[in-house]
Amino acid sequence: MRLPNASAAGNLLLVEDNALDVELTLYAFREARLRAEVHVSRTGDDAIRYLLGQGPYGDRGAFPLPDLVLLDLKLPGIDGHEVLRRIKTAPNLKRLPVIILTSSQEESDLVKSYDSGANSYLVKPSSATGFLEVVHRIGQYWLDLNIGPPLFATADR
Amino acid sequence: MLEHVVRLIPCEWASIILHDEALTEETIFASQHMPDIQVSPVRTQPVVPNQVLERLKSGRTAIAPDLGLQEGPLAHLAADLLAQGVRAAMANPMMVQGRLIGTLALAARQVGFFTPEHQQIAEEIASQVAIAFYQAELNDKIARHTVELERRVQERTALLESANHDLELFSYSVSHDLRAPLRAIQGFSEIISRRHRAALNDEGRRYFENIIVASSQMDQLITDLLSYSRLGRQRVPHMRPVSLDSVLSDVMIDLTAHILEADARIEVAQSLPSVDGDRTLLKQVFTNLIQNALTYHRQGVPPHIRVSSITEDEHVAIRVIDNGIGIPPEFRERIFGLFQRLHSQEEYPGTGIGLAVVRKAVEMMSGDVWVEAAPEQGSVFCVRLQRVAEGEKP
Repeated sequence: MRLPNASAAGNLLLVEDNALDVELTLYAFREARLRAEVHVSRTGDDAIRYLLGQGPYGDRGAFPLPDLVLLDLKLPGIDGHEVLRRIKTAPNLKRLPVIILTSSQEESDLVKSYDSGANSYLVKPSSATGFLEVVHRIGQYWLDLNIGPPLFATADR
Repeated sequence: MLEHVVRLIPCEWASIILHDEALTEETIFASQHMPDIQVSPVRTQPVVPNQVLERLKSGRTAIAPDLGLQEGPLAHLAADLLAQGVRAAMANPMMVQGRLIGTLALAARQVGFFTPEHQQIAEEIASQVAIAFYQAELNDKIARHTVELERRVQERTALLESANHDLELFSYSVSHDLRAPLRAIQGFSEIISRRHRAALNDEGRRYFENIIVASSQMDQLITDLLSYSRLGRQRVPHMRPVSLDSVLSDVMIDLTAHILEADARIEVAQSLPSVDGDRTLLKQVFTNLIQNALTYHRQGVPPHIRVSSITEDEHVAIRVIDNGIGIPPEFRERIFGLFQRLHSQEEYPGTGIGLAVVRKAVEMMSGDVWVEAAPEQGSVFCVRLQRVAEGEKP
């Protein structure tokens, strides 16, 4: 597949416990030439702490709030559904776009995710080409085309 | 009841004694007696001794006109009764289907009290009482069996539910756990064979191609298996009148790429009827059947597929007719089983799940599916479903 140079830039949080999936996703990011800073959280707990700026993630300069979260559902400990629920119920995070990236096509997972406020639901492709395409489109749509929410809106005050 | 007995036979003591099946235990079911006559609550001797039971067992009444004349083993019991002033005794068997279930025992103060007439009355009463007991026992058994049956049904239901739940967890786990390593195998093999192609010789490149082909087959297998198990876990099908026209037109659109690739000609009869079915299941059924017809074509002969229907009373039989390789008669039932394949991957790719899905889906909609030979060459898959009555059209 020939991809045009993507111009997307942004910060991205990838929540994925499987090392090989992380590597495949990052490979696809490089191949798709997405100019995104990707922080990887390997557990749900780490993702929550990153997003809330807790513990080692206190410095927002070094660990900025992402423009987009790519979230796997099956995670050890706090699973993806719970991470999603916490994001969507936290006043400062609730508008953050969250894309579910999972291998599950179970109806129950779909329903639960959208009910909790997921912004998109993508099934992990099984080929590297597929990964590349998915990542390219994520960049094109969510980082390039889509206008993200202001996390702190005047309307809130 | 015994009050009636003593009115008809004015003796001093009347009792109904029930025996167990082995005739080793007795229970006094009811007793009617003069206040001065008592069967002591603590008895060392049975009311109906073995020697009497032996006679009763054959359905014959035992009468002792004068207990004072009793000798042998019965003398001891006789003495017990004599002490209470009883002189004459009669034991009438209560028989059910040739088996002794109880005794109507009567005793009187007067020697030679029991006349042949008394005996006749007592025997009649004993047999009536036996029938009543038998019926009560039957009712009891039925009630017990009903309870038992209900308990078993509940037990089985619970077992099934838990098995179902296990299956659900299993397929959920398969979809995640089996897919992850497969994705890595497939993904990294692809990266190597593309990005590092120059570093590989022909053999290496071929082997990587093999890995990619095999892992995409496995991926298809997991996908199909999951769709099969998802069917089984689906609650009740969503039955409603569905237009087959619209189902088939959806299926055609979904299969466009396959149809073009196979250079196939597909003719779908105009105005197919409506059936009582679940739209999602129906789509799955016809997608799989047409996909099959596209796959199993003869070498060099482009697939020609016709879809038509025959209305029979309350049913509709939809027929998917192909000009493909056909199915030998001995395999026409087997092909609907899970993982049943008649060809190697190299001849015709497939997972052996498609037709199992078809059968399961059709059965969920209370229909039938079978295969016949096409008149000249190929197969006819028939799906019979409930027709929708006029005026109930979707």
